[in-house]
Amino acid sequence: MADISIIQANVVDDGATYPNYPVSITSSKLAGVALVPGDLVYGDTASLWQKLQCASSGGTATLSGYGANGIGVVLNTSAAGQPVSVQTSGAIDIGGNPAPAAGTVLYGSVNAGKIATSVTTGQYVTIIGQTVDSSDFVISPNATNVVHG
Amino acid sequence: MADTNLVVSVANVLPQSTYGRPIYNNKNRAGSTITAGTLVYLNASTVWAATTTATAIGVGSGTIWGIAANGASSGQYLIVQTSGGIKLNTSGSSLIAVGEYYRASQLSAGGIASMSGFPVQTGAYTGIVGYGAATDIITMAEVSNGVAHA
Repeated sequence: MADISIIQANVVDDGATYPNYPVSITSSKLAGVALVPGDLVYGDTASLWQKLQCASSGGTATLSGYGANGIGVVLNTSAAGQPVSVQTSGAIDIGGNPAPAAGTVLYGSVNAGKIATSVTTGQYVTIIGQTVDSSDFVISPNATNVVHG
Repeated sequence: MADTNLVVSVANVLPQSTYGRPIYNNKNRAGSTITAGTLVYLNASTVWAATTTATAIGVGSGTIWGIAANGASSGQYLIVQTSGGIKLNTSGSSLIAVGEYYRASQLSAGGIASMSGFPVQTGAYTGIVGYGAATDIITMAEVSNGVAHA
């Protein structure tokens, strides 16, 4: 399973290209760790953004409350304790890298902060969204709290 | 005497609510790559740009200004702190004089320098961006006059 490739400097919300997928951005929480554009994050119980890791063990995802405080993609660069902008829905351009074919479903990766194109046995299944062209995908998170069989 | 910029440690730029509640502007994008701790203003294209000696803090094109609270590449949203306390370096770094006023640097774009201790360049604006609240913290407090130094 491969994580998708992201060009950090070119990550930007893209509601202009896809107005049918309205963009929501929040800047109300601080970064819990150092974050860069394109990182996949979730809001923890301390209202900090942390890197999402959908591993079956050793990851940040658990079966209780996971995803309750928001899931999104980081839009700028922040050290721990700095405010950060996170896009929680709508179209996002991940930098012009060839993305998976349009229509590909994207998932939270077993690697912290990364987005993958598939899930593996024993991994928590968290759907992040779906690609719409070679550079954009639509963020529409759904934390199923289900372990892939 | 040469102008001297405050030394900013990007990863240690942090809001400091005990020295004034931080308020942010998160509605605009960066016009170029900007790092945390850079003094910025909203330019005519309504994107954040690093201040220069031609930026009159608090008036005209420099009316909307602040200190970058995180980092962004050109076109990305930038979060800018517009008031309150902000830490600019490691704790106890002794780089900031408590009670000293600070302004836009004459030395480099986006820099912050103290108000005293060197002659202000002719033609430079002297709007104040804040004062030293601790040895590593500035409380942002605008004092603008829009007057270039004679």
